[in-house]
Amino acid sequence: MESIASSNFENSDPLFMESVSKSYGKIKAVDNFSMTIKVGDRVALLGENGAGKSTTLKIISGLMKPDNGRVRIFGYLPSSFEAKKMIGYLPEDPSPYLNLSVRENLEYIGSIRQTENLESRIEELLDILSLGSMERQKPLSLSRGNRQKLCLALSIIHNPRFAIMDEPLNYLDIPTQEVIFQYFERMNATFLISTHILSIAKRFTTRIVIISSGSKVWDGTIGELEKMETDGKSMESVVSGLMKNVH
Amino acid sequence: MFIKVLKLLVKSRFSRYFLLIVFFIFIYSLFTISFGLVTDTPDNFGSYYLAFIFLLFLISATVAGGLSLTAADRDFLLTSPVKNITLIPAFFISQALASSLIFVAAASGALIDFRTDQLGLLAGILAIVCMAILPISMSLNMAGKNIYIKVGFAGVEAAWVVSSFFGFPYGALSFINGSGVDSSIGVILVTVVATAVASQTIRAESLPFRISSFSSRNRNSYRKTYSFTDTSVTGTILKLNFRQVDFTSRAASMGNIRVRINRVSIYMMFIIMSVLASIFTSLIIVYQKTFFGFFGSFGVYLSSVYITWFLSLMLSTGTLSKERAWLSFTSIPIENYLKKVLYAKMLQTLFVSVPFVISSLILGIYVSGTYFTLTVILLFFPAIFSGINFSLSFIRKPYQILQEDLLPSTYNASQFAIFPISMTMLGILFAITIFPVTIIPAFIGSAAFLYILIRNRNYWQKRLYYWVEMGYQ
Repeated sequence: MESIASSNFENSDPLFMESVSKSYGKIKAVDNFSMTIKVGDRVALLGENGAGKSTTLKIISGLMKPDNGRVRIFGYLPSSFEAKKMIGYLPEDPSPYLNLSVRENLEYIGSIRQTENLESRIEELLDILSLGSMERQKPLSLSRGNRQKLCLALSIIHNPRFAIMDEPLNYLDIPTQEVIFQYFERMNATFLISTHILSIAKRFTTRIVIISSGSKVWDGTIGELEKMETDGKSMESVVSGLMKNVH
Repeated sequence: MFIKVLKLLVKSRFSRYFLLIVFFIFIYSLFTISFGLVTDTPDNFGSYYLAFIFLLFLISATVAGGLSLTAADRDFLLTSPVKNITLIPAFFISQALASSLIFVAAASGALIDFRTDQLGLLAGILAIVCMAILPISMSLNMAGKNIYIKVGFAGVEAAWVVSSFFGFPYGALSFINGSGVDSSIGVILVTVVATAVASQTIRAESLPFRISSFSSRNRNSYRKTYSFTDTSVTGTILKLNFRQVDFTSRAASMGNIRVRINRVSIYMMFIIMSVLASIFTSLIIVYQKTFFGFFGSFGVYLSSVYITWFLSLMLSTGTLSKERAWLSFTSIPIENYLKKVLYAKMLQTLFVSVPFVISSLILGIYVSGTYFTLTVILLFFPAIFSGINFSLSFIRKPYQILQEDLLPSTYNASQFAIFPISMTMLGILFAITIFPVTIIPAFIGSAAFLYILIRNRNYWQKRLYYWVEMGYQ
């Protein structure tokens, strides 16, 4: 196991993962997984339910320590102060602070993340996500969709250079999804988005990594995936086949 | 940055509900100690009470407590650029503040007993300083130490507190006996040692991995989905309906009835019932003169029975709600399914009755030592009545079924508790108050009645199928 103290690393890509493994007891959630993401990449992590997507993202975001392997965020350990300054992580089914209002959530997390021009940044996010009229409400009184919008705002409030998102469009209606996509397009960031909805991957990302039983089974561009649509096979059935082949 | 994080943690923990709980504990403490001092309780009631609260607090903190981490902390704070040297003290201090507030509220009543001298103030100060021991509790939990280490440490804590009553000058509460200076030295020493041990315990841990995994300590059982594998149909129905407690609440507007179902674990209910039984026991002891003067000693048992029976109804108000889909998958006759649910609910009532039976036992020994054997019957009485209620609830016309996706009968206490069965129960209880021996024929009669209901095939077929058909219209 590598030393926790190490920080700088020769590879300064947004993400460098090498031979990473993680088990829950006897269950291997991530198995010898390697991946590199370059600056500006928009990568979709696709996989079945329980394939290991969320565990992979937790390891990348520094919430979980891998059993084996190396992970670097811009050359730093994921749990390091430097790496955390650059990432924005949205977990699956996230929970904001329930006792704080929408605005207070944004103020506190934005402040802790040392966001520049915090006040105007909060106004901008409230406006983009149509949360302005709810800024004094507590999250418990919000609909699930509006709570997801608040969590999205919390994860990107500090303008992260590397956005790691686990099912970011859960619970959101179609107009809001469109707004989010457009905003993501404007962000000067690298994206890693975990999803099991292919249309999201096709719409926003440029590269797809398919994971099955914790292992990477395919890595390529949307174009490469489209070329595999032969004999009338849809992209969904191609992806499904890739996921199943490993078993 | 430290202040920002601390402010976030404190503000997110000190909700109005938390403060309400603290207020309740404070009022409860004041009442307990006030009445304790004027009744025929032993001398030094206040110091015993303080010691009890202190022990309860320290031991529960060590064994089950520790770091308070919310999902929001994990999702947004632990992924923020905050150094551990900032994060960990902020967690410790916010937790200690919240814990101290509860402790001071609970211990405040004891100050009344010390009002004649300046020791009351010292008691309050020491109580807060003694929270220094909390870092060890937190570090033990954070580091995931096993239960034996935690229980062992809790034992040491208990010994330190209790030693004050055996003349040890450096004990946690020795100031009560006039050893103020020595006691303070003891507390300061413990503070230093506790902090050192806590630092040492978590020194090797790579935070925040440890903190983030703390909120999901049972990760190993994360995907254990085989709890019903290889279980018979009967076993599955019993197990499922025993383990889940169903609450329902209803609201009507514009002719529509909305139902909200909440389900909690039976173990959570057991803890709640244990707390209620403890409060009930304390209140009876404090108000014993008034209570026994009015009801007589047997009234204690009956109160327990009635409380347990009523709560068992309350905790099953949502039984059979939202079960239509489940039933469409079953391959057994519906009356068989419902009878098994009935048995499960009886077992559930039996289980949650235990704290009140223990309460009755304690009160029986404390007060007179009589009626010991009847306590055993008490354990089964609410369960029998729970079964009767379940069976008879199908008689009620479920007027709301056409608007809801519910089975016809929802075994709803809010509809049912005020009806004849409750009156019968109440009548029996009063009869037993006057003639305690009546409990035996009352128990046998109730059990026989339930047996006849369960065995009466015609009853179930006529009632159930009729209402099920109504429900499916």
